[in-house]
Amino acid sequence: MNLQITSMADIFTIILVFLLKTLSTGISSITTTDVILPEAKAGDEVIETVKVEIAENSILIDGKPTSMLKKFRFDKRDLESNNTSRTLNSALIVEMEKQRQKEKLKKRELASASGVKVDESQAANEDNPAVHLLVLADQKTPYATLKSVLASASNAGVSDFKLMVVEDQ
Amino acid sequence: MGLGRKFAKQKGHEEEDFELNIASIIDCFTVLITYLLFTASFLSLGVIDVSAVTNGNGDGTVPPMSLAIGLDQGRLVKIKVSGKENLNLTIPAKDAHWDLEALTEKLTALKEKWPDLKDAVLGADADVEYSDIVKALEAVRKTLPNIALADMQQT
Repeated sequence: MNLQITSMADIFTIILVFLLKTLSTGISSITTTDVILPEAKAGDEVIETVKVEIAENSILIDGKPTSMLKKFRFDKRDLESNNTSRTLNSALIVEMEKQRQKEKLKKRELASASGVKVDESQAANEDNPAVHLLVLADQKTPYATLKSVLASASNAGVSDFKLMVVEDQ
Repeated sequence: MGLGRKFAKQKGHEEEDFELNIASIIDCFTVLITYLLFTASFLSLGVIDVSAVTNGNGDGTVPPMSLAIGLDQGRLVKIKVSGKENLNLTIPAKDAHWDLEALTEKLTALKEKWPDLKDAVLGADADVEYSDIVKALEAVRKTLPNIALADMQQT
């Protein structure tokens, strides 16, 4: 007697197609091990950019710890007069400069691939492209810490922040 | 029609039968499905766009109307409108929490009165939790899409 596995193969094919279709292919490396993101109904699409995670004991930029926190608060010795963190300020300046270089390179590659001539005003914009910051903050983060991180990022030239949330269905 | 097929081929008087072996395909599918189920993320992530507070529109011009919202530690929502009209509103707490439904209603009424109002500044006390900020951002975004975060003193 032959085992009839044809229908089983059909079911497996359907499951496989469904899983491949729902597989997230956008942002590649979001790891929020110590961070519980808040829930929100509306949310825009996530883009690939520099990520800042605010956990209970540390702040991580693209997964690398840069500043230490104690119950979501900065150590007072690490704070500047404008309430921003010294360590975070310097780390963000370096990371955002790297991101700017990446953006410039990407734009130049796109321009050369499409064969479009770049005029002076566009070239000036290219020298200082807009960079975004993805903020993954724990839901218990106090506003003072969040504001301090945003102020540090503003000092590094970021004007557009993307606060990551879990979409509430 | 299933995957198993029976092919019959006539070669003179000789008949040949084929049974397609799909056991190895099933093995591959099982491995793939197990892997995908383990790595699949069933959480849907989104982002809320905000900006930092700047003076004016960034091009040196001051907007004709500005709206500032403050979340108070005492669960009060403070709304301050300045420009063409100056208003100071306070929404009291509801069930020991910020009354965000009332905030949305007030903002909708303001938007109807001043349709060119598009920007809002949101501030909060230092100890207000991020989850509450996100809820307030959601309530404001329904009527005013451009939100900037500021200190409580700036609102």
